[in-house]
Amino acid sequence: MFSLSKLKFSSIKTLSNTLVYSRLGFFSTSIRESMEAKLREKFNPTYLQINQEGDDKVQVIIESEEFVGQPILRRHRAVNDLLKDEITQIHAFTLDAKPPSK
Amino acid sequence: MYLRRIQNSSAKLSWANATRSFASTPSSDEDNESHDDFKSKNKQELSDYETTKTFLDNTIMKNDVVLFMKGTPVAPQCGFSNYVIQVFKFYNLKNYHSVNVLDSTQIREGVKKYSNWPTIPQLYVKQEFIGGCDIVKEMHMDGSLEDLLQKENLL
Repeated sequence: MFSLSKLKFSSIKTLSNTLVYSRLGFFSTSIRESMEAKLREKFNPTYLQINQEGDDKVQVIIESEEFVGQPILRRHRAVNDLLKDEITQIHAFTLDAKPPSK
Repeated sequence: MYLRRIQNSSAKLSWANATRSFASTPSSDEDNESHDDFKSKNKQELSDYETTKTFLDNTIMKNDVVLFMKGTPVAPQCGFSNYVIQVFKFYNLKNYHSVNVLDSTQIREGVKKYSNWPTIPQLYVKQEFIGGCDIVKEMHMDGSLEDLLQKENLL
């Protein structure tokens, strides 16, 4: 069984709300930029990491106060609904949406 | 400098390997989505969805655990679907019903609309939508999936 946690490669952290882009992947930035803009506006994340491989595989890791006390399905639905247009354009989407880690 | 290049390339490799196992086989996707037979007209799509919805209603009603997946439990065609199957094996959950969405574009797209969920796999337990691979993974890790299956007397 593979582990999704292995994807946390080369730890790319947000520093004072600035996304340090992954150097991995040489892809069109439009989908990622669009995702990032929407996520920042809606959730005001304390942590945001968007990894993309090729044109169609995206992993989003997001932490936000908005997710406090929310069951996992509601957290995921909130992000999926927000990113509906982007997700339909890509082939593989993984999400980790949690309250801020202390 | 040299060291950094090695680190970057190895990180890239692991990400590539991981995502490769996530994605379904490109051939099956292209086959399904580009075939002229499936480019149905709007009216047709509407009636197709009603048919699909009836099928989904019945399938979910009749089975305590339903997994909509790419491929079959014996031969999953996607790393995400495979992950859920491996989780089932971990709990020795055998009494589940799987639907291979690659068999039908109507079902594949229909179940996304039905569940209001954009990706495959999708898990239902006792008629309730649980989520996709990420949610199954998290519930597996934190023990809540086992709790749910036990509560519903499925283990």
